[in-house]
Amino acid sequence: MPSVLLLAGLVAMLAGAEAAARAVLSPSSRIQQRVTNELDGARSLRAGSGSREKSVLIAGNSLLLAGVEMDRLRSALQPDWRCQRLVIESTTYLDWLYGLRRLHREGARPNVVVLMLSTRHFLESAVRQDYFAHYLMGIEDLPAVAMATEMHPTVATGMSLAHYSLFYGIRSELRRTLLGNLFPGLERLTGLLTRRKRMALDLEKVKPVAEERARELEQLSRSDGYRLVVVLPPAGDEDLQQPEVADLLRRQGLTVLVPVSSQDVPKTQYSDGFHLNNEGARVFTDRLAHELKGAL
Amino acid sequence: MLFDTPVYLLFLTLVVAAYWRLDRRRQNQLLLAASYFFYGWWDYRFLTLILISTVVDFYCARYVARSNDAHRRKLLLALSVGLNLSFLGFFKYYNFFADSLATALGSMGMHVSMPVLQIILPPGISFYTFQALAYIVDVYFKKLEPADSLLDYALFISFFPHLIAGPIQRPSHLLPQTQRAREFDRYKFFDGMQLILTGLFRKCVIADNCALLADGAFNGTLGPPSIAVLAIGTYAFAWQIYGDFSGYSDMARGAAQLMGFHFMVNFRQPYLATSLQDFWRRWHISLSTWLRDYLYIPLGGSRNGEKQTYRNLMLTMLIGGLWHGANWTFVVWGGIHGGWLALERAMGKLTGISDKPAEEEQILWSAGAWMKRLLIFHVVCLCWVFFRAQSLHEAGRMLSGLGVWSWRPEYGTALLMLAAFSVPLFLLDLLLEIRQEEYPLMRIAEPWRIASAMTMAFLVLCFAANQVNAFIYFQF
Repeated sequence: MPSVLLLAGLVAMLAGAEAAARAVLSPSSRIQQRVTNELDGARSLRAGSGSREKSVLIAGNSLLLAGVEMDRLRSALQPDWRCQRLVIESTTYLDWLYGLRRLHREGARPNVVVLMLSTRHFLESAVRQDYFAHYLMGIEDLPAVAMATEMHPTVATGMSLAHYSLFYGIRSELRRTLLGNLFPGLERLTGLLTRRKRMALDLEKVKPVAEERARELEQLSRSDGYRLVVVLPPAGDEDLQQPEVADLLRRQGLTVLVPVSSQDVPKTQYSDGFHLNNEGARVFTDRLAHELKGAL
Repeated sequence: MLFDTPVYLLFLTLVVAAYWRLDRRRQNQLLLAASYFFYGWWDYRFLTLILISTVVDFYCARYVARSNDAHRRKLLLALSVGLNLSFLGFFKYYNFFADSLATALGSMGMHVSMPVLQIILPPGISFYTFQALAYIVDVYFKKLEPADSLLDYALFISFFPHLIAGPIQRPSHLLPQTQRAREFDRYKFFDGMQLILTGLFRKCVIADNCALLADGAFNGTLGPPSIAVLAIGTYAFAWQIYGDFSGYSDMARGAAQLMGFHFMVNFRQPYLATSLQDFWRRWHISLSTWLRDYLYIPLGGSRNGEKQTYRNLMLTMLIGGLWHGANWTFVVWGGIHGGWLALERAMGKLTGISDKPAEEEQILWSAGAWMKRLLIFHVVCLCWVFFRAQSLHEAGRMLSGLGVWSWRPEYGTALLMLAAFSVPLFLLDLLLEIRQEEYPLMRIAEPWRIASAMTMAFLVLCFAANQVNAFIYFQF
């Protein structure tokens, strides 16, 4: 019967895709490997006290990846602090609010969590959908995520599948890799297609959002037993209101660091107008280490 | 529930699995309940609207059929048509007409402030309204016996595969199918599965990837309008909308077929048309034949002389344009189509060449036919600029790129990507055109059909764009 054969073939193909994602595709991708290793590292963090080395988790997106030289930061914070980085690209505030919750449930017990997001990323109300659902979201948080992002039930159902299926969760990465191999100039084209001209933030409008988020983070860190530090990194011309946003957050009792503000970074220290280059990263890491030492 | 999401595929699987265990009456009950659930998943608030329309049309048609009083019959027809059109008019066109009236009065020096309402368009209203209109009109003209069961009629209107974006089913085709027992046919079932996979390929692989380029060109991120940006944007949109809507139609037909129903074919290789008239025989066939039968012919068609024919042609296309959306861009889109159709008719009269596609097979490979195809494809593409643009101003801005040459290396990648995603669909169309098949590769051996379906599924797994992209025609 042709339909039974086709159905069987489709089921086998889906099972094969899942198995291949777990056995071959994910381990062979440098990004996936990095994410998996860093997630494992984050889960294994334990709080230290007294003379024992204390732990700090530094979480963020590509701004953290490009902007902080981890070896430099680690050596600056040694011997008292053990640093674990966790970078997941294209993530924003909500990704990490729920991501930190899940990490705690999965056993992560750092003394300090440093959340590094640009002011825009901090104020955005979106999540990195399927990828977020697989790596950062706990399934019990799905209703809350759906409400916070005004998500349609169709999208939410897809995310519940992505939570359990690695293939479904990372399929956009696989597609990007495949297309990147087929079309060598794709990265530049994607950069062009996704660039957005952004307006300056309306501080009056974002004030209640910032205050609510500061309270949320405060509650989360208290209930999960760690200290939270928010770092606002430089993020180009479109992110010039860090001092004002930092003040808003500090007024809610949050520890906020702005090691180098966006307007103080010369254009020569950016690689693409948004991410820091090696020189920028070196300067920023030194300032971050200095300020972190004071804050920790 | 979008047809290309896991939740829909789960829903469809559950419905089909339960469906074939029931008798006809219970099958219809199940399908109606599933259809209302499907609709309510979109927006439960508008279920009332579709219920009112269904009940009123059902009883109006019954009384129209029973009555011999011409006046009473007309009154009932007017009630049903009026109710359907007033729902459509209010929800879809109120703000457009209010705004246009205020602008027109303003240009005459009379400044009035029309209230603008925050109206949400009920999903599928343009489609089910046309289906309901066809039903009452057919019953009125005694071309169709009215349904004797509200359940059957409600299912005809609300059957979930066609509910949100068609294909607009003719009452004479679908209603009898709801009234008789459906038999399980394993070959038809396989055809249905293959249609769904082909539809997924068209939508997720072709349309959604072309959409990235079309969006980039039309929203300006690709750069200011130039020949290259216009070409990328317009060609990408041409393949996007074709892949999107034909993919949706395939998935709708496939889902219906899994339950023993047959839906009319909605697309027959439109970009292989050799004239615009031919294009409309191939593009959104369920709409173009509806407009022909319920608008163009009742207006007089070509029966009252050339002048009237041109008027009717233009009116039909303008209304067809406006049906797509409450925006002047759609009116212009319809106007260009109407104008070109009129031009083709006039040229045909002058030269005495008829445009019946009788010798299609013979002309498929002729150079002249390909020149015509190329010309018509570009006329259609020109119209797509108006269809895709958010406003006439935006369409004008895009078209202003015709006089500007600028180039970036990224455009080369974009064109390469566009070719990679449009050529497979073009080749599929060419194959279907040569083989004249209703289902892809229906006359080849079974193992090859299974292999081709699996290949489609594999391509969907590899290349489906990850965002949930609503089908374009869902907004109409």
